[in-house]
Amino acid sequence: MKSLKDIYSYRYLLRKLTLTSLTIQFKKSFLGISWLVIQPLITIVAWVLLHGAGLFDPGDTGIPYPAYVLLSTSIWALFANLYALVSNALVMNSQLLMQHNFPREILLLERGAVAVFNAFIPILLSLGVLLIYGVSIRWTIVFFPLALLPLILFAFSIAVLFALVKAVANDLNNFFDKAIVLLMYVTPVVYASDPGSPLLRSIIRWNPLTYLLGFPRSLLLDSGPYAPLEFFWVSAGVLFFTVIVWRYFHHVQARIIERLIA
Amino acid sequence: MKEANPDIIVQAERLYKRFCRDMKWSMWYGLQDLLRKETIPDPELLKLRKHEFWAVRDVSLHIRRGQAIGLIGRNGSGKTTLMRLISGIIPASFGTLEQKGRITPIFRLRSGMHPHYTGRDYIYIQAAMHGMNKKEIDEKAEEVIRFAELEDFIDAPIGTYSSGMKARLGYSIAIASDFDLLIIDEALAVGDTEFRAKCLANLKEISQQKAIVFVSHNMEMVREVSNAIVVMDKGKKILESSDVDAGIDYYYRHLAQAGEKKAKPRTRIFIDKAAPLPPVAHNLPQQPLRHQLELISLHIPKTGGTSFRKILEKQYGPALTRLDIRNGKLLVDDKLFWGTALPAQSKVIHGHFMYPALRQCLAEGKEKPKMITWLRHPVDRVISNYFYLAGRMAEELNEEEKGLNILMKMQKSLLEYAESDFARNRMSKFLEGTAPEDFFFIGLTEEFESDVKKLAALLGWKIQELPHVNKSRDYREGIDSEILERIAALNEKDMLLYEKVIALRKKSKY
Repeated sequence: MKSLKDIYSYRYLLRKLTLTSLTIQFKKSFLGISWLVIQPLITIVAWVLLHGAGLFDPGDTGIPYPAYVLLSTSIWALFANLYALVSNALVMNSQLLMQHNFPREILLLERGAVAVFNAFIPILLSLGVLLIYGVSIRWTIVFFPLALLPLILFAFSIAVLFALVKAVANDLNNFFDKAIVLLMYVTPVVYASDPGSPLLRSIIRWNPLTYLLGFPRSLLLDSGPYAPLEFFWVSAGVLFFTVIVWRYFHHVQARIIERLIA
Repeated sequence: MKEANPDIIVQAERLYKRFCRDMKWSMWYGLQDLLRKETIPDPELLKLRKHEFWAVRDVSLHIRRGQAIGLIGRNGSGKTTLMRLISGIIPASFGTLEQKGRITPIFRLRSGMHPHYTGRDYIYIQAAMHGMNKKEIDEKAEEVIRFAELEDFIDAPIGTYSSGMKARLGYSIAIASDFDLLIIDEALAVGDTEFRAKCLANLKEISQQKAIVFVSHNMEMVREVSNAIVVMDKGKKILESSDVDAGIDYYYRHLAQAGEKKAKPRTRIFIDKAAPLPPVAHNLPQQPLRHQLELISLHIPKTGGTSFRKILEKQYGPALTRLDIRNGKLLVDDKLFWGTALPAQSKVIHGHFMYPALRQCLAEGKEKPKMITWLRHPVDRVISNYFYLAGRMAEELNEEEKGLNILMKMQKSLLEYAESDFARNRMSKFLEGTAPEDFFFIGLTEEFESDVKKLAALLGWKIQELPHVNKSRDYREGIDSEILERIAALNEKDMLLYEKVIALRKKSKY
């Protein structure tokens, strides 16, 4: 509780850092904010080409494949961006951490906020593409942002754990960063939720990301809510996990941050 | 708190901090720390893990309102670590620490902020990290900008700021925060003299109601700011006193002792201020000497003058005369000179003489001879001079082994040598009574080769090969930075002279 109170008293720092980071990232780039649009477009082109060439079978996606890929990869990008930004929050700010005494959680939250903001633009864009493809969007869309929350918390908590590991050991991060990329292939992102391979099918079944990503996605589509019960239990687990990680971070951060080399 | 003294801001008891020298082991201990917290019952009995050492060891410190503590010690003596402990940036391995009120630390580190942030963003973010809220910052921002004298740059990205500008901004933000204790860890070292003076005045004012810890290697500044002093060595507090001068003195003696253990005998020499000069025949001319000189080359010791003389010898042959004036003796070509005019063929003189003495000896001609001299960075010159004398001394001692023991006892360390009146501001003494502008050319030892080429072009010389000039700064490696800074401070006049000549050279005066 003390940690939350501390953070609250530094709320202005969090707000200012987040706003400055958001504006700064497009300040000195030629294409500016349109990068947020261009990147997902490149991803779609890649997957649609692979699909069109008949290289793999995504299964029954229910809606036109390009729209499906765009939507799914933009939700996945939320997870991946959160991990990438938050897990580097301590290492990238070692100088600041070694000369100021402020709640270290501020840096994690700031990176998290930036990642969420950056992910929402492609998600909105993909909604537009769904409309172009004539997918009728259901009223359940109003719950979509709320339904993303467990995914956000999960990504954030994992990233916080790895932020600590990275502060101690630099070489481990390469390994885990690659592992996170691989996770996408065992989660129904670029293919439908019931692929042909039985092995993949059972991995998917036990992979919490399947539900954290599949349920919110299904709220946008005609297919009806995907595995709501599993989603509920996984979300409850994520919430518990988040609380534990948060407390753990608060407990160990001081003696881990001194291992940073500024 | 045991004693409810409202003036105590920091009460640190028996602080210990251990660090690991080896990165790989540090990683391993870090991973262990992720899983468990080690409790230390008594640090003095604790066996440190492999590669670990105490960066801070058994330091107790009470900081009260109205105190301005100068914290001094050699590099790596634990000053910054102690400051990080006190400001709560890192936790102590052992000991208790109680803080009351806001502690604002500024360190001499890169800001760690994105270089595209504007100065204004920088103010808001740094101030927020010092614990200020938006309203407070809004109120103080203009004052900060004014104090930092950055009105014209405040909306430019900080990546374009010089290190001095950043230091100015950092200091101004820190003093705007409503602190109870301000910690300045070398943060003013990069600022220019003018801003430093402004900060010093400001700090004196602050220390009336608040507390300051001032970490610095610049003893002049420590003297100015502090009303108490703490000396650290190897993680321990070795002295705490309210007598600042005595503390600094103690520190220097401590440094000298530590240096004595390290230094080899041959790097130490003796200069006895009290010993009278041997009686000499005073042969300075009664009447100024007549001459037809065109060029005067003034040789300040250890500036590359000997190499330059060799070049002059090649260019002018018999027209070059060596002339030295020392201890009231005028030597021409190494012999006492009694004549009334310089040799008729002399067009050029070169040698050791101070300018005022030369003016006494030479008659004013119709045409003023061109004057040339060489300067070198004063710190390098002093050190080089010291080692030169030390080397000479060692030779002398070998020749007369009988006297060795007595002489050894009278030897002086580098610092003692540098502090003697004889060694201080020697370049300025050589050029007294004249201005750098009066010289036809002032070369820099550091630029010897290119300067000789420049001179050759000006005077129409043909240079076949350049002699070697020793301008290495390697010996600086083995010398504590405190000593280097002290030497620079002792030779302030020479530093100014050196900087002035560099400025003149930039304006292509020569």
